[in-house]
Amino acid sequence: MTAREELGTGRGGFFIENFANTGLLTQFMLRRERVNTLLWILIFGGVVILLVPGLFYALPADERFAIVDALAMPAMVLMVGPAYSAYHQTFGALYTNFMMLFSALTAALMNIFLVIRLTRADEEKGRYEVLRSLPVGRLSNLGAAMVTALIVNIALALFVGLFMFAFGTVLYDTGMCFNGSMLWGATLGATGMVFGAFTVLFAQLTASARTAMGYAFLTLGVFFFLRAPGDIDAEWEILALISPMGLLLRTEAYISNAWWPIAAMAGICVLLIAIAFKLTAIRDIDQGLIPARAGRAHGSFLMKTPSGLAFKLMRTGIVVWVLSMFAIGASYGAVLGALDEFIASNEMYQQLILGPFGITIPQELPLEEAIIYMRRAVSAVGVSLPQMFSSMIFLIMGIFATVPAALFVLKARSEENETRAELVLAASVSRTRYLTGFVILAFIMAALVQLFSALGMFAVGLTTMESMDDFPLTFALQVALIFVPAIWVKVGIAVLLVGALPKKAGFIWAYFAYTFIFLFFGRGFGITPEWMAYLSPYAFVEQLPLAPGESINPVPPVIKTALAIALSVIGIRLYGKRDVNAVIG
Amino acid sequence: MNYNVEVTNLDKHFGKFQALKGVNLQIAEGEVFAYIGPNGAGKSTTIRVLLGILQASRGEVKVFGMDAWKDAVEIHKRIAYVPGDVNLWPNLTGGEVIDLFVNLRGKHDKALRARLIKDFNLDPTKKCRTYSKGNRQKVALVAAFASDVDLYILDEPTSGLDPLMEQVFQACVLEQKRKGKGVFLSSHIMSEVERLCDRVGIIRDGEVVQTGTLDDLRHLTRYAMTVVTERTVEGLGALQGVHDIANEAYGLHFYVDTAHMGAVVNHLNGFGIKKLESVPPSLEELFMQHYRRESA
Repeated sequence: MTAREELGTGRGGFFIENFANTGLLTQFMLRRERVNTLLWILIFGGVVILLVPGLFYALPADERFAIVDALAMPAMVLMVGPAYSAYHQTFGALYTNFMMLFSALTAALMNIFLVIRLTRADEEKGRYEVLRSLPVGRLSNLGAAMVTALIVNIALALFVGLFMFAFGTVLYDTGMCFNGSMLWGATLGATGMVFGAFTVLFAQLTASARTAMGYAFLTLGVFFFLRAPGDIDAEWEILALISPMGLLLRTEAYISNAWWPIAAMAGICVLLIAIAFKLTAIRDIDQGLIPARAGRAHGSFLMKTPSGLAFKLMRTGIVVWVLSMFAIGASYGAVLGALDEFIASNEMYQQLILGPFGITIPQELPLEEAIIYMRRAVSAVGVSLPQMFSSMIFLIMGIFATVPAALFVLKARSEENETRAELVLAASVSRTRYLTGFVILAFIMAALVQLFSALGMFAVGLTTMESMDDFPLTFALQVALIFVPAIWVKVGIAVLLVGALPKKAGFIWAYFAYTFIFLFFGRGFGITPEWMAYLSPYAFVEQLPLAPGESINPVPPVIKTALAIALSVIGIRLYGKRDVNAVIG
Repeated sequence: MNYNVEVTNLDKHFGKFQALKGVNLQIAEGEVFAYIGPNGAGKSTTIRVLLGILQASRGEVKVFGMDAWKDAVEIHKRIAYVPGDVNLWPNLTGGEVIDLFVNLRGKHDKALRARLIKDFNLDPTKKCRTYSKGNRQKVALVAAFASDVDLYILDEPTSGLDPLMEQVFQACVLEQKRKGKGVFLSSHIMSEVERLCDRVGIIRDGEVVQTGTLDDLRHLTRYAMTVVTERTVEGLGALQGVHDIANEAYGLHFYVDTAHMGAVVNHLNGFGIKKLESVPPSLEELFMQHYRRESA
């Protein structure tokens, strides 16, 4: 059997039967995507570009390479790739070292979403069927999706490449040449395209858009970790070369500027897309080649109570959030062993980390002396640098942890919006019982994410620090969990909003932003008036580490917990008194 | 008499918009009641108030003699609800959703559940994401009829079903009716209403404009008449209750309000009737008249 038999071979000839109107479809897809994808390119590309001057000024030239030792540690190589900047000390090399892997990862995500939207999601919603009833070829839609992805990736590559070159030229002595800048952009575009091609392949194999997306994420994750041994140890480099995530790091933009990995990635794309074309020709519309696994015919014990349902709906979310927070904690644990240089070389960190303890390092001191001065000052307070550092990190993590907690409360609101809440409420379930299920999960979630980020930081800290005396497990748990009552207050406010002002429940995000801005910039940097931070529960969290002999004051956490419970109870009460989803009809 | 549903002077406002204006309904135990009206008339709003999901702005709403808002949980133990547009959790299977609803309502009859899944030809192992509208409705219907309750509240439950499944649905409703259970059915399918329902209520623009048995309602409407006479009929248009007179090849065609039938026949007698046909309105026509009246 030849490909021609599976594909269209009718009167119009091979090309017409299979690719008719691909151009028009591409135009149509670009128009569909103009807002969504343009925003992706502008925001994601914009962050990549603007971090060039951002990092340039955050790390003054004479202190810039003090952090290279930290970058060369295996835990950091795992997160960001090989430490090029250790042997090629330019700002450009440092930027590639810091940013390339995560930027490429983001480009891959953008393409996974884009390709799923243009192919399998359309098929699932029945829109593809309508297109196929028009005079378009059998492969036109897939072809147009790939051309669209190519155009989007080229646009991203040019946008990033040109602006990076512009910034590299304007700033002083960056080593950011034109060739390297264009290679930077091309690396992002090529990585995006490779994962777009993987996605389109999975879209042929699986039974639904969601499963295809799941496979694409899984592939991305596997390739990310597969390359790590190769980046850490040259003996294993083959692992980095067979993973696109390792391959992209071999372009070494601003270091050796190698273009061959781009060619290799283009080859991978062509191969994957050709297979996808072949597969789409032999499968039926809205069917996958891998049959869907049959689900449960009966509900488990979770399907007996509304809280069981709430848990089941959030289960994936709980796992993903807990693991992500563990990973973020772990990434901070990776720098615990190199804090001396890290903090002594950066004024901003000094202000944030040492400031709350009244320590300032005289600016004129050279790095080595600054480190000695800092060590003395810290031990005079009776605490340790990792403790101070983790205190600042967990303030940020604690603010961030409101996101999963508040999301769980808002889930009750979105269930209402999607008219599913009334299906449950029409059974013999009271409003109180229904909403309480979500609220309790949110409370537990707040404690869980803090616990796991502390464990992540501690676990990786074990491998990077010489001794854990400076950062015992009990302290790691304390410094993370002390923020939990403050998160609970936010949860309480979210519950109150869902009960009292359901249409405005999204206001909780504005409050989240408020807390972040005024606590971080206000208290941390003194830019905004300090009293504004006191409109947030985080301002009333005791500053750890405490001097030897002092113990944590139990009153503020107890008051915050009581306040959180009171707000939740009022919110749940009001929820019981209002209309559910007032729809006219 | 015991009533399943008693609604007295029910008003419901959404801001300035008044969705329900003084709705009154009495539905006896074991009665199958059809609630019909054009889109946006207030059918689903009424149902949501009955379910205690919306709170009445004014008036009294009782289900099983209990307050629909305050005693919602108690009431819901004896109610099964099927919405017209069933939105389910995409990542749960149909079987899981059925078990959830049945468990939340109380008793679980495994044999009945299995029979209904077979009758409705549903695959319970599929994720709800992959179900068509009809299949999502089947999930809700199986969950409803597998529960042992006293009142079924069904809001256009068959709008996505094929005629075969429509029959299965009607059989389920008739089975519940035989068992003496009450049904509150909102529907646009007149054959369904004609076959299943004891009484009908018509709502338009938030007001219940008619309630009664089908026969009661027929009396309030027009008959289609065809008459052939020896002499040309004169003065028919001047009579009360005569509408849309048309002189066709087969005879004179017009509509008569039921209340004026006697006077019209007397008048026609004077012209020597050769042939007289009168056709009672179909349910469909009956509702069309009601639906249209306002827009005219």
